[in-house]
Amino acid sequence: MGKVPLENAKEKKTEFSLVRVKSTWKRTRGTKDNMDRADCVSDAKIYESITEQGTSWTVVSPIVFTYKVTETHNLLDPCNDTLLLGQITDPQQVEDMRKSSKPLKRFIVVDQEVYKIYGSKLTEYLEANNVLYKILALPTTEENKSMDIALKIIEEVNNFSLDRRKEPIIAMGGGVCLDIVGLAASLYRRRTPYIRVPTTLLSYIDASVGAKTGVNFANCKNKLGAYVPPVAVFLDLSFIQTIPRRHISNGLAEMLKMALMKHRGLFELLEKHGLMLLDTKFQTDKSIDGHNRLQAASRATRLAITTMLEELAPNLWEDDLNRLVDFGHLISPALEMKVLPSLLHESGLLTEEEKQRIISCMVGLELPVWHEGFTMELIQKSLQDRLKHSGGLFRMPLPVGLGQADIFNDTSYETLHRAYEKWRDELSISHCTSSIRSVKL
Amino acid sequence: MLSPNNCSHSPQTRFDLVQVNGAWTRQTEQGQGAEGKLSHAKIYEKKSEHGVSWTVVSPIVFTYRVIQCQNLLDPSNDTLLWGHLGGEERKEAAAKSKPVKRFIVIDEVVHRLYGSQVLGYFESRDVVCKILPLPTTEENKCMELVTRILEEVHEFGLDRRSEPIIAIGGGVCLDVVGLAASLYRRRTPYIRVPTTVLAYVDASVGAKTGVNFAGGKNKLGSYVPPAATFLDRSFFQTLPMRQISNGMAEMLKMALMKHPGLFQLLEAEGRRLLDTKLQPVGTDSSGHEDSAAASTRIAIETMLEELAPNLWEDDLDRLVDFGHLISPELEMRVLPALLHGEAVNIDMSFMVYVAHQRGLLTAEEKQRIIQCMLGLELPVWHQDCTLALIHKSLQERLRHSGGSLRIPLPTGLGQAEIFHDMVEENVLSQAYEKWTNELAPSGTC
Repeated sequence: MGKVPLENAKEKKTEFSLVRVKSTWKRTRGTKDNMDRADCVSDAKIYESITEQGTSWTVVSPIVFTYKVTETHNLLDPCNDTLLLGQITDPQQVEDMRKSSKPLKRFIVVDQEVYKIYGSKLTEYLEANNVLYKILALPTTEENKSMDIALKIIEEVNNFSLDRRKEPIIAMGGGVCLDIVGLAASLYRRRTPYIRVPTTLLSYIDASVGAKTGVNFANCKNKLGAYVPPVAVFLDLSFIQTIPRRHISNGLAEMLKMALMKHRGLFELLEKHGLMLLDTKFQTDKSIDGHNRLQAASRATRLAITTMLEELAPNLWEDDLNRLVDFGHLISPALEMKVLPSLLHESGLLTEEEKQRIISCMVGLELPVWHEGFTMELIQKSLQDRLKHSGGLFRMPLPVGLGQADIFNDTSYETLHRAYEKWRDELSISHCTSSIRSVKL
Repeated sequence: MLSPNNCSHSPQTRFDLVQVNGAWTRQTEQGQGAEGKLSHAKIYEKKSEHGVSWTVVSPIVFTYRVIQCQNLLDPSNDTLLWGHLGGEERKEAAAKSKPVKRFIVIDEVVHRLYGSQVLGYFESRDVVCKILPLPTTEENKCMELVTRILEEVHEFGLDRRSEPIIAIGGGVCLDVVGLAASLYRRRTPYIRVPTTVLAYVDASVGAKTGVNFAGGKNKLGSYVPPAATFLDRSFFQTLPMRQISNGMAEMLKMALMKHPGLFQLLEAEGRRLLDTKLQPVGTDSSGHEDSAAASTRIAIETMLEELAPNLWEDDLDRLVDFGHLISPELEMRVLPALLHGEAVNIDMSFMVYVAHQRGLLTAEEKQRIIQCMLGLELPVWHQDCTLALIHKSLQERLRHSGGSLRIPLPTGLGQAEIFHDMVEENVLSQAYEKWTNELAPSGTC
């Protein structure tokens, strides 16, 4: 994908453009006359070559994916029409819809736990806005993240009857919920528009802003899925207030990941304000102190999102398997981040001081920095798996300073082993007295 | 999917994306450009009192090959193994010392006829292969079949990018494998080898994959094209006549919509093409292409013209939908009595009467078209294609097409247009009456 065919000296390749005249598409050698007379010229091309075996054609067809990621406050306030109209890009269309009295139709999939907390607010919102709706509350956990639940959603959507293009499915919940609904939507009618409303910090900055959807299969995470992005993502930090503290830590881990890879400023922000963000759950009030907190909370999330979007937008379908965002996902998402500062110091990529700063930051964010399940065997096995699934190279993203990174294919086992030993020695003793919680991501 | 509109009272900033040392950075047009790879993707940022809004615009380029060849299963022919790669890549791949692996899904009937040849091909080239024969019929075109394929593929183990899954069979087989491949690891390359005329001219050259769901045809699927499609007419030799006719209905569809030359060819030589099963007739001393070759080539070219600019059906106005407004309902209703092409032909036959009723076709043109269909041994009428079914189908069409009917109708022999309004009640019933009166006795049921 993505490559234009090379000229082969033995084959004569003719390039054709495609132009539409009224209802019919025609290929043309792209003379100015033909182009001028056409109603429309496509970006797609067909290359034809003729050999004694027959004719060969190469089709090159660009598809442009466009989606909006929009911050808002009080998404479920009936006066805020973002949830219903926020995906529309044409301001005139938005105006027309606001003036129209025709009721909108929406199908909403909500995680069961989220529904318990926000279900009535959501219902009030839809009723107040005169929406014909169906809410499907489902338990969306890692254990039932399967094709069966995606098909169940499709069955209900099919019975509800939605316009093919104008009535997006809405998904409200954490990463698992968003992934499953995204897959269901991309399968139904081969593509159905959908909207993501992340309700956890982790999904707010990670799962929600890219194209990936998926379910588990054969005991493997996300083995089945698609790369079809939503039409829009609506970000409201107020959902975070009902999230347990340790899940916010998880989300902060993801932010730290992006910071270490790409943004020194974000790292410093987390270093300075991490604990405050954890304590306040990214919420604010109207006090001056509240205003400062708002600054830190919104700055942190914005930086996390823009750095994530920078990495995802040019590689939406993972043509390039070298991905900085894989940092923290090579070995075991729940355990990996911990050994890395030592690894980086061992590899000469970080100074001792930088390493200490990172570890202190992690401790401050209440991230576990030690886990006895994280053995050298686990590291080795994970790296072998990585090799297998990444076209034969490690493609290991590693920071090369605070907030800068590169992709490495040649980190030796000796280096890893030394780092592992150092990590184990330094951190297992100093932290065995503090409360160690195993965090499930 | 258009570029974002600028809202006049709220400025947006456009960011380009540049890759420097493995990391992507956004920069404005005015910003100092670091030297690096520039992406075609863009991010637009807009600030308002509610917060920030970003719009991501990311083009993904789908590239695929459609290659005509002869003797695909001859071990000396490279195509089946490497035809999806260009010259340079082919040499690199062939030079690797690691054993080559391939997973092949083959329709079980096709397997009985060609299975040993397929195995022989891969064995003679030392390819580690797994051949999975499956009953790929319309009745089991469902997600369970996809899951079965996925389980086997997962167990076999394939390189993520360089070992495409191969599908050998008719349209159902190609659709099902295509969907499985597009789901596995979110995308796995796959190759189509159509063995029926229908699959050759239709299913194999576009992006659509799918399975049926809840009684609806192709309700689930994706728009992910294969890495390549390999077209070898020799598979047609083992097809029953009925299957050849079936495929020629799709050829006729393209002819009626946009190619007078192809229509004349089918009109004049349809019988002969059927009898020879579209096989090459030996070398013609004048060096001209024989009509079987011409007809299949034109069918593919016209189809590619219509599909390439609209791969993901952004535009719901599609000439290739001709014959597909009523037939989905009819086909599912009488399953398995009608083959897909047969249902399509009945739909087209009715629509030709509608076109005539509306003054778009002359009586003579209508006659010629129907005669051509009969010459190809295709059914032109069916008792289950009632006026009620027609109404229901058109209402469904309206519902699924954003409120506009988008009905392609011939406006001459080999030309057509798409109409947006619902067909008037009296036009429909008069057309239906004439269609039934004139064709009922000669149709099949």
